[in-house]
Amino acid sequence: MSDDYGHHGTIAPFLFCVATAVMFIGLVMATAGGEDKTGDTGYWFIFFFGLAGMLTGFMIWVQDYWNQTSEESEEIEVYHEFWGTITTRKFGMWIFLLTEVMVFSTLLSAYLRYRAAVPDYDPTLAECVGIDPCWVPAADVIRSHLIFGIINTFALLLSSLTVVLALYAAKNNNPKATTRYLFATLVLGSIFLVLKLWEWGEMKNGHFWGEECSVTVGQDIANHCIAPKYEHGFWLDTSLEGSTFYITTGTHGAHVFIGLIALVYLIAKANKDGYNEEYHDTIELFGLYWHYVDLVWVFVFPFFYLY
Amino acid sequence: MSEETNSEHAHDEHHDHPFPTWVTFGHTKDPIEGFLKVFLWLVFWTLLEVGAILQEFSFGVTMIVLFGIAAIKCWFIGSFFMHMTWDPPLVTRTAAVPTFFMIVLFLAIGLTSPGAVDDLRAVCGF
Repeated sequence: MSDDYGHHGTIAPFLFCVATAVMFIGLVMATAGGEDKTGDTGYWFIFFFGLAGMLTGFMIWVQDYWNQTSEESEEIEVYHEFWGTITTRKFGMWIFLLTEVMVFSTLLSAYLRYRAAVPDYDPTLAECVGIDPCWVPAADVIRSHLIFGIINTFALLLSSLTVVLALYAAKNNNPKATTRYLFATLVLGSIFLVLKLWEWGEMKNGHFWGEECSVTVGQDIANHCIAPKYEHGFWLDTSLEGSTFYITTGTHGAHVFIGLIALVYLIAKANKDGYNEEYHDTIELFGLYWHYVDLVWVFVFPFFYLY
Repeated sequence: MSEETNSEHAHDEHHDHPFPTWVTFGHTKDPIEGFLKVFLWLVFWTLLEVGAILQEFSFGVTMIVLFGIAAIKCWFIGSFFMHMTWDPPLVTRTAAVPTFFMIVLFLAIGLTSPGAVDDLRAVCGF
């Protein structure tokens, strides 16, 4: 092993991460900063500065890997003595996933905290009348169109399978099959996002409710009538239920979107050089990320769509 | 690479990645077949999950059912799709760290009363 432990000298990941942090800080300050905490448009400069840095870092990163045709060189395929059984890149990916688990654990535990503490909505309960303090879960809003959530679940599960098949096709020196499976993953991920965005729009505009529902009658899930407080739709700022639903599913959707960007790169790279028996680590690392996104959905689906 | 080498490689993959026989309903030589059956298991658990929620259970029972099925699906995805069954133990140990904190967050903060946060403080000794 070389004495440099495989650092291949690119500044791209560092630039990408710092610029992303700057971008988000700018976004928060622009939308919720300032003296009255309602946002200050002057901070949009920081947001766009960070965005430009992030895109620059991303392009440098892509350029670094674009011309490589092997991962067997000691520049990348290295093993640190501390984690000598797996490559440094793979160990790094697992550490990244470790931090990602904490992000979604926080979101899901916050949601569960509310569900455990606030009584579920029941129109016959006196405590649910008036300002409506009871919890009307997103699952009640979605129930009449649950089939789309189920389709999305199967799309993600199937896409996990196609990523595994792409990796095995590459290991077996079958570049055409590798590209096909990666493309199938891209299609399935896109189906997921399109259905998700459509679902959001319908929920926001209250189109999931039955036409014959009367607000005064109250919630009647069997007939697709939702609680009065969602008379004008279900959105991010409608209620705590809306906030938890859209932030959690939105964060997950953002991860799917990032995965699709990575897939476009992988497909282009597969078309250019072709992954093979010697050169497939990138697909494996992407697969870990994609399976993780699938794992998150395994928890999001039951807790936001079923219950 | 020749056809022979390709099949040898596939054979090696099989030896590198043996599936438990109960997962694949018997011995299988083809890893692709093994992954397909893992996918079918995931479909089965998803359908069971949807069917279970249509029953009227209490909050506690519902949580146990949903968490139970989600944990099983996680095990299938992590063990086989993410190769944790065949990877060195270091990967499992690395994954165990966030899993521990996730369980703490879900149980101690998510699913218990607000007092649980104080209880956690007492348990952890700070």
